[in-house]
Amino acid sequence: MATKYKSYWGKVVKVNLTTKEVTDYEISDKDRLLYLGGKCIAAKIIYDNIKSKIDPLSEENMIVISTSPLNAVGAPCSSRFNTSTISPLTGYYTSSNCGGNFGLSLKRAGIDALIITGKAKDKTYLVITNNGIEFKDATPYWGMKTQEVQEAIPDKGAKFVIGPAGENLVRYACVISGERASGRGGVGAVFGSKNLKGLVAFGMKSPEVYNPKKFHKNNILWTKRLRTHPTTGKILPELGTASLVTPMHAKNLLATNNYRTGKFEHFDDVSGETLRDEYLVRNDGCTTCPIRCARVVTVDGKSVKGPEVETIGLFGPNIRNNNMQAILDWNYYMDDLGLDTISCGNTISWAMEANEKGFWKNGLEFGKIDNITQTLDDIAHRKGIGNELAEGSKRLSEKYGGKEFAMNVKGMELAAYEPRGAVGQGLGYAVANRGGCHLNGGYLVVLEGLGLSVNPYTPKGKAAFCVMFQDLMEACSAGGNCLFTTYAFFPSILIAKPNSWITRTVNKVFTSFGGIVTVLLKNPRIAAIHLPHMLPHTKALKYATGMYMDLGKFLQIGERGYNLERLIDVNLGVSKKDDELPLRLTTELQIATNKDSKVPLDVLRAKYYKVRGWDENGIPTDKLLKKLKIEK
Amino acid sequence: MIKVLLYGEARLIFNVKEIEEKGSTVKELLSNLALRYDKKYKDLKKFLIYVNDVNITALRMFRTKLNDGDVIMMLSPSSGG
Repeated sequence: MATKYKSYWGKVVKVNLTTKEVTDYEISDKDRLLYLGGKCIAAKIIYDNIKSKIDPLSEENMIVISTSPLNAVGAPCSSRFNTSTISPLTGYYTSSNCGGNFGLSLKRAGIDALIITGKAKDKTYLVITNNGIEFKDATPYWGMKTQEVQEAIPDKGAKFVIGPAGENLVRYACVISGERASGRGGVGAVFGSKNLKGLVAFGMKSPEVYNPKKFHKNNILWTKRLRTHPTTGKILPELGTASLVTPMHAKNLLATNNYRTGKFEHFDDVSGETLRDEYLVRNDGCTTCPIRCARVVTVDGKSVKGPEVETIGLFGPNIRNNNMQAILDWNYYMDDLGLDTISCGNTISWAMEANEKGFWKNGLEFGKIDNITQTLDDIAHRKGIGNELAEGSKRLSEKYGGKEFAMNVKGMELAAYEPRGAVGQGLGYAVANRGGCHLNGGYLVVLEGLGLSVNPYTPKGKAAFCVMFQDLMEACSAGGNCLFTTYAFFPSILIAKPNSWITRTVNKVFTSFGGIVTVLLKNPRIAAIHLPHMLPHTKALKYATGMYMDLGKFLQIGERGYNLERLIDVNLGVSKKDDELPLRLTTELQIATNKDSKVPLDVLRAKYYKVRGWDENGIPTDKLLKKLKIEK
Repeated sequence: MIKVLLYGEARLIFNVKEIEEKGSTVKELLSNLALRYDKKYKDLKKFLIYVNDVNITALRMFRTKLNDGDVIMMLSPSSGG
């Protein structure tokens, strides 16, 4: 296998855990051009290999760990890699992005992507180096938590491991690299189902880039841009993602009391400001990151990674808890057990409401926090009610009732953004390929209050922007960058001066541009340009790989990847019936006096399908697939 | 008196969580704060400002009238996550 493109090795390796065979897997340069890397190339591999419904926890499932062309070549914010599989939580495709060092080390070991199939007979971990792949006995490490096992495994290199939750097939178990998680969709359970405790990668090589001089110059410009933008240069380093707690409260976006309201009276006790002033040891960041949004806090006397806004929201306001130290403790404990904090928190808040309403007596109550730590432990070890909570809110609500307040889409629990305060975000949750994910859904909340302040209640223009943002983030991820780099897409002046007449005018007219965005999306050749200050990704990819790249091409890679993910899901049974929100969000007003404070999903979804080029049932049309060069 | 709740960068600038100040409009209130704490009025104008939970962009901007007991929130202009 070889490639004419730079910054790839041209090497994808397939490991069969059943037979212990290691073989090369062919990816053509045509596919590199069409799908770039990361989650998009992973979707191509999974699409080619899984064509119908499977049990995600069976031997039939596969795991693809994929790097991207901008990994390990020196671009800023480019340590991200993806773990993709069929999710045991949803039954559909999931791709989970992680900022840990494992992806960089995998690439430095000379591998662009690793495909894991079959099931190991005995507990196993793999060691990947420039010399090949070794199968090693994981029996001594089985049962260990994620931090302990990373220290215990003696092999040199970056680790990527599961904890007890993955071993016990908790449907939302994650995989941890350092202190960073491949969090969503239960990829950890798929590791566990294959008797795979983890992976270790070590390498010293970096691939060449196509035009080192121009690539380096672009990286300097890009880093400068990230350091001077008000979001990535100021607020994220200062307050982390927890900076959102306060504006989410102010704008009715802070999921509270299992998404019954968007405001929490004690929000400041769990805000980014309080985290900074009372708990922060220092800020931190992924390798290659100039933003450094991560929080380092103290848990049990140790300096450890602090929580993101989603964890704060779901283990704070959404369970009516204002004890920040408890959130820090649980966040660390969940990472150590290998649990996705979003699905876990959301499932617990469903259980609290189910208990309150008498659907399921389980001892969990809003505002009562003394039994949470034990509950987390029970979930990871599948003990007592933990065994049931390990199944997630969808399965629990099907068993006990209470579907209308089970806050998931396609089985994946929503993040902490209450979408009745931002209806475009609601659309994103509903149609996202991997389920109720804020990022895979396009993160329109950034337009609707957490960046710009476009009317959050109107459906106008939202479908077009939802598609554009989904495609943009898909392409950004395929390139290997952190999604926070897309914040620079918003001109500083609009973000830094929310009260200026320019910003207010933009906010007022923004949704009117939905039609123009649709035309752009359908005709990417119009955008045969670079926007080096707003989107340095395109030039970086051009100079790194030698591929022709412009804004239109970049967006179309995202569009192609997104549609291919949809096709995988369609093969597994997805259609319009799955693009639904919990009834609470579409039928109950969030604010009694505001008739628009619910998600008008029917209108938004119909328009979204139209902009996407999908039929009325949410299936990509043959015409679209032909345009995108996707073979059915 | 008007209660001013400070968040994000505003909390850093004033180094407190909460201030009580006089002012019949948002503009007057910010001017009073600028004078009292030796800040520039134009630096205070950049914050997201809420009067009793309503963004001033939905009211009369800096001419929005204030009454005793009103609660003002001053938030960082940007946030990210």
